[in-house]
Amino acid sequence: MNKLVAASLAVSMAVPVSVAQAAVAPGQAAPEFSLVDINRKVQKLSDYRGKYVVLEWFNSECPFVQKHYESGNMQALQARYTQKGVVWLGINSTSPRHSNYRDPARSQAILKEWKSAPTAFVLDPDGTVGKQYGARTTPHMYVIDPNGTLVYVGGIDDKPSISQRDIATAKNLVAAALDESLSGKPVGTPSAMPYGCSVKYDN
Amino acid sequence: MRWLATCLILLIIAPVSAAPVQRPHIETELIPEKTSLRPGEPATVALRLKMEKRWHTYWKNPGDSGLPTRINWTLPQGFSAGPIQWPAPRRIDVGPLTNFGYEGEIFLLTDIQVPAGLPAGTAMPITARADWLVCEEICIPGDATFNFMLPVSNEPATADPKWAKAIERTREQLPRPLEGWNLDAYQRGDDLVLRMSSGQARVARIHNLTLFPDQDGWIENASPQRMIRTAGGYELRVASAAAMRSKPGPLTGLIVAQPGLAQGVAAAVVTVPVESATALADEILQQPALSPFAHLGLLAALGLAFLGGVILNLMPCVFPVVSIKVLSFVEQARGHPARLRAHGLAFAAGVLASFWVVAGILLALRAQGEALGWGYQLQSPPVVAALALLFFVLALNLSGLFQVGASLQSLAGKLRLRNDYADSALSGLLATLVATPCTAPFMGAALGFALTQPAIEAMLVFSALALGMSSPYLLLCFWPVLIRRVPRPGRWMETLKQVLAFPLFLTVVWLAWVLGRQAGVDAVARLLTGLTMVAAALWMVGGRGASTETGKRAAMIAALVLAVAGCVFAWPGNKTAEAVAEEVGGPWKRWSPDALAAARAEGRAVFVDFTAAWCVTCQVNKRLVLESDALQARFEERNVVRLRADWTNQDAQITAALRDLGRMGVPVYAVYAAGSKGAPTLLPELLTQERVLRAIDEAAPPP
Repeated sequence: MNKLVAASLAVSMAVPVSVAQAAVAPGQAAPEFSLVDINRKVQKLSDYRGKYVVLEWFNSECPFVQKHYESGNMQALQARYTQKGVVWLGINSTSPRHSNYRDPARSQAILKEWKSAPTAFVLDPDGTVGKQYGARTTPHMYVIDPNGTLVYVGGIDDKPSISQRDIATAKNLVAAALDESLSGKPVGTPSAMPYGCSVKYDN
Repeated sequence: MRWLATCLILLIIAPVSAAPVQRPHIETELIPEKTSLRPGEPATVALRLKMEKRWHTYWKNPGDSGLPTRINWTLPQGFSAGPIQWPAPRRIDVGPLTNFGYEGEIFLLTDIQVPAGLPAGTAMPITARADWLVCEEICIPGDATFNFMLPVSNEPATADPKWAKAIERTREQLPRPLEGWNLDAYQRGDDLVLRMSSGQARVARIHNLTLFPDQDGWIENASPQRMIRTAGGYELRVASAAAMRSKPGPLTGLIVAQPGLAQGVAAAVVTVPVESATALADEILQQPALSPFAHLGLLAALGLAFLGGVILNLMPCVFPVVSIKVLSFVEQARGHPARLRAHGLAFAAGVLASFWVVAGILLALRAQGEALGWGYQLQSPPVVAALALLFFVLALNLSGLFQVGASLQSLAGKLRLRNDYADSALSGLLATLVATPCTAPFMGAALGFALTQPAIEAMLVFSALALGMSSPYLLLCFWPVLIRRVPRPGRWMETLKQVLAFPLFLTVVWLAWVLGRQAGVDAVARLLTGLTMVAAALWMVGGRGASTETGKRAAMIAALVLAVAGCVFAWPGNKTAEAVAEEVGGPWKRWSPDALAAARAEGRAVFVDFTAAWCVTCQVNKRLVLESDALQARFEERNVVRLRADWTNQDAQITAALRDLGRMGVPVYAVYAAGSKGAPTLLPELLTQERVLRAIDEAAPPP
């Protein structure tokens, strides 16, 4: 029976899938990917097996992303957790045909200006990986444990808003998931509503 | 004097309403409905948002991205503001994502409680800050703060005439509790299924039923919501979100439909507990799309459709028509390869166009919630009668009673040529028409797939079917080597034409029989009378009745009158006779979800024959295989329950059952194993005795 399901799933993959149909959930294995970063280096998820990995969906032109960068919130998280050995991957799935697209050189300049320091920043211009993960918004956050299993999927915090003032009073769900995981505890809130701009996929 | 003072005060503190605020891509304004406050009476304040074309703001659940509009109130002591009264949103697609929100101009109403002890003659400051996110391809957050003073008066408050109508209309259209429908919901496979039943004999017609959950995480926002007409109402199937299983409590949200869910109610608030399929004792609910074909990929479906189309040519309904076509190809284009190719293409275009028309109508009606499947055309007695008439005229033509377009032959060759191509295209159309009652092997699975897909994919599947059906002719026309094997045209062709008239007459007999099953014996008698009148008319047109010019003209007029009278007389109307359609008797019992569930609950094996009188393939299978003594004996021996689902006339329950099996047409043969709760085995469209015997052995092994 499982074989049948697997076979039919394999067949149905021939059809383009919508973002939602492919969405992943906590407890599932994080889909493997191999993407080129803005330094032209290939980043494979499986290279980081054995470490916690954070995926951050990014679009510098999105006001929700700007909220977390202009306040310094995102950079602080990146610094705090990469110091603890966590791998932080920024991912941009914006289509080159969209006005929000920024080429690698421009992306590098923006990251520098914002003093963003992820482990790597990768580009997903055709949106394949974004759709595989069901990434809907920027930001949309994923935490993957050392075995390659998703332990958190959702928004960066529990206060969907555009205002920087809300950051102080919001519960940061990514930090919570990482803190709990790193101290060997189960994640209390494994999923939450992501909020932000839509990911600017190629239609 | 005192009167004057009041007037002065009123003048000074006349409502200072907040002027419209312009922000990028949006105009906003805070509007009190009434020009004064009355102590103890709630006052409504509207936030007007007017978006530029193509820009939108969000509902309380924004969907895949975005943020709801918010209002923060600063009010005098004793006042309190209620929640925003959200109008029904609409789905807004952004690439592969879907948001729930508003376009154009909207009014977000808030009721403000006004304390009872407020002294008249004073004025109260109302302050509100609105925050919104307005998006097109990109998003721009915005905010605005509004201040105004409202005088307090004991007189009944009057409405601000500028906006009164718009606010009143918004209030009328606010979602209300659902009335007149029973609602339940359950999880089936990957779908959240919402069932609405009206409990009335006549179910109100609605379409574009859409669910908007209050919270994110219930459904896959971007997945199409599929509405199905059921026996007692409607069913809405929505892909549920991966995280839905962990959702506590009942599903709350809105359902929206056109023209409305009740008199004047376009949107309704619903709260419904979602049962998981395992918690439901009702076994019928546990039949997800069971056939392995339900998960077909598009490519596989296209391949099957093409193959099915090729095989369709060999089915009993198409073969006679098609042989005539081959003959005319030979006749019209012998020795002219280019002309032959053009004929082949014209024929294929005719097939393709008619498949598109039939499929387009089917998809359009389905989108409105009609429970239809492939073959719906023949579920209507007038269509069957019209087809019978068409075939009858065709057969008379082949027998030589009259000639079509004889006068055209004297016209220039070029004109005639053009006419020939139109003729080829028309034969393509005809071939499609006669093909509908036949389902070829592989076709069922492909059509079943098409059913569950968005319109474009579905149309692709139908196109593949059409191409498959016309492919033999295209081959023949592009490789004239093949056609050279056919003897030279000559006297034999005329003879063969006349011979081929007889299968067509038989087709008419069959259609008359179908009509009899649908509409009773009276309808058949009328049809046959009508056909006779048309035959007489055509005989007159053939010019055999009169020798003089005047006589010929009189004969023509008489023929016309007779033909029209014949058609009118043969017209059966849309009444269908329930009981006569397919025989249910002897060992075969009538299918119903309950009958199936009951038989399975007893642990018996069940064989279900989904059939229709107009389905030739079904009839062939029934006569040659299912009713054979060997099979009947085996059914008896193994105690197999035989159920027959008759789809001759429209039947929403059967259509729904077919859909659950991943099919949209008949025949379908489903075999449920004894004592199993699992999926049935589906047998091929063309049955053989061996295959059915094997299926019985598997479903009900010998003791």
